[in-house]
Amino acid sequence: MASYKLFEHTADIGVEISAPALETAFAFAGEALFDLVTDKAQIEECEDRLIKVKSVDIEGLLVGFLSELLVLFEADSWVAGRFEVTLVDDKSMSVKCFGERYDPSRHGEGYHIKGVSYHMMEVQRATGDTPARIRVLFDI
Amino acid sequence: MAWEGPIDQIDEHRFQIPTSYQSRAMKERGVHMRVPGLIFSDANMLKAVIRDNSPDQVAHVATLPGIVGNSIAMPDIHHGYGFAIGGVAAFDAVEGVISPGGVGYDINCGVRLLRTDLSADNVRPRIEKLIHNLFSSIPTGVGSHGRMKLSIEQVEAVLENGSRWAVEQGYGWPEDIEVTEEQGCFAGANPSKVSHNAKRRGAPQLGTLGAGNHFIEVQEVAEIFDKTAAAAYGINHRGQVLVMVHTGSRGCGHQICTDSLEMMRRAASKFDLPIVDKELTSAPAQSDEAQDYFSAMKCGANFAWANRQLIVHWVRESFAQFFGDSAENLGMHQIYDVAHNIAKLEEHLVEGQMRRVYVHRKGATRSFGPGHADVPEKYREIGQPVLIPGDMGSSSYLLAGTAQSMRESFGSSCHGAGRALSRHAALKKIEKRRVLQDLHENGIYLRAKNKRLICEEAPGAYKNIDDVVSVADGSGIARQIVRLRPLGVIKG
Repeated sequence: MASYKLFEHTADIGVEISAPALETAFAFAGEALFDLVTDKAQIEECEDRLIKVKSVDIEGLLVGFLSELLVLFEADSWVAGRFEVTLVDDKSMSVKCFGERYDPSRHGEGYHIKGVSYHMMEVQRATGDTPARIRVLFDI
Repeated sequence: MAWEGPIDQIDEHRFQIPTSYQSRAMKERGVHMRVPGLIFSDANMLKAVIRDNSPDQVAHVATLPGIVGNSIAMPDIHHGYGFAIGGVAAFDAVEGVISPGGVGYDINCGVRLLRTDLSADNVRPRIEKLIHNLFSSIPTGVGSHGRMKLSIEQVEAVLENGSRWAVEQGYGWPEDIEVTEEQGCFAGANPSKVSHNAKRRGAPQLGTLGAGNHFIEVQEVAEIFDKTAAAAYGINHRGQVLVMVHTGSRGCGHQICTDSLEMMRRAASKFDLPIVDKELTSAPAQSDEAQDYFSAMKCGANFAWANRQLIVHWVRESFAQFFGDSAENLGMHQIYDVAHNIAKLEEHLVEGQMRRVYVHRKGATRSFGPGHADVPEKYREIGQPVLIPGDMGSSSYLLAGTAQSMRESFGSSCHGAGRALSRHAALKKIEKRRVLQDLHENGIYLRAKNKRLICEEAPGAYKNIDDVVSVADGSGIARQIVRLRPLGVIKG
């Protein structure tokens, strides 16, 4: 079962994620990004990289995290299929990314994500029985 | 959710959102529209605008401090982030703000148009091979790497010098500079204001087309509306072949926008601006943050001009090799190059006074009228060429800027067709086979790297560009000069 759901928006593409904890939801958001730009199923966990993100709030952390993944993809030609997320607090996080060098012939080519938007964004921690939720739009 | 607020019709092509309108978000924040919203449209197109709720964004932009004149919506308006796409807003240079959302992620996404002396009758029979030739020369697609591998120092030179850097390296002709907006080099671009990440994203991508709605098209002149103006622009007959390139600043510009939004969000509590929408994140025009963004934005713009300069150089090389004659002999002069996601510091006459304003054009094209000093001398009597790219398979247009646009829209016009269907809806509703059949029946050859784009970018997914241009022309903010139709298309 996919870790995310797509939703419609006129010019761009959105994902909605529900998970038992917010850290898992963040990890699924990372998986969604790489599943949109490549075929994530083909990504093997040959290496890992650690990234750290700081921002002014939890929404900024999500944008910062996903933007760092775009840098990994475009600048380093590196793709990741799994993430271990540690949310230190609402303004700081570290992520261990598991992946490998990008190989277009194996990983394919998907959408061209220009940036991550705050538009219609939702980042909710889990409370009681209600799961954590993320909704985020990618500028295509 | 559709627009439920008031829209008053002024005339056939002008509609106003009155300043009395207050959305729920505006009420919560205790802010009001400082100026009216002005939508260029017609009765038919307005239905889609209302359904899309983009007037809500036009109204929110009108709440920003220092906004001057009207919060403007072009005929191709559709919902975007903060600012609608197809939005124009000008802010006082001292009292106003600068907003990265008013420019967009793809800084200086824009269009370049080349003329040739070739005729469609000669090119059409060979279009498939010509397109394949171009496709092999110019890198396209997601994560694509360019033909050049730049060092960070070279990227910094590109960010500072734009087209000039490219021409100095031997890409293109010196005359190209004169017929590029800002001469392809926005003065005041400081690479130290651009993050290392943005430079790293840019380094492998200079000279690449990208994906989505970017394209290279070999086109023919389908209709000439004004022979004198067309001739001044270098277009002499129907069937004349032209080449249009539509692309932007790639990952570099996108990262600059992301970094700038984060920078301004960090500074938000310092300024305490009444922002109703996070994507309208702004900083006072005279602040360090606003000026740092403006300088970084200029760097992104220069990257895009250098990018289009390289691509056009390879287009000329491909044509020369294919037709066995030099690009000079083929008459492949550049007509013009425009930006349609950009902010500029300009002087405009507002209520009888010259005002210095930061004009934000997001999915809108500069459209300066006859006599303006920034219009190249050879075009000054006619007005600035305004290049309007169609979506895949439909017409593109060459318009001329007008005095009316200077009076009403801060010298701005539309930029294209605007989407009507989401990508998801397009994939569901539009059949790939049908699109390819339609293209084939119209004699258009398509080479798309990513086949999914065939549906997502199909004409049915976009508004009708003929309607958009008709409103621009009918309202007087631009003048139709030439209609172009594609012979062959390359998409990423």
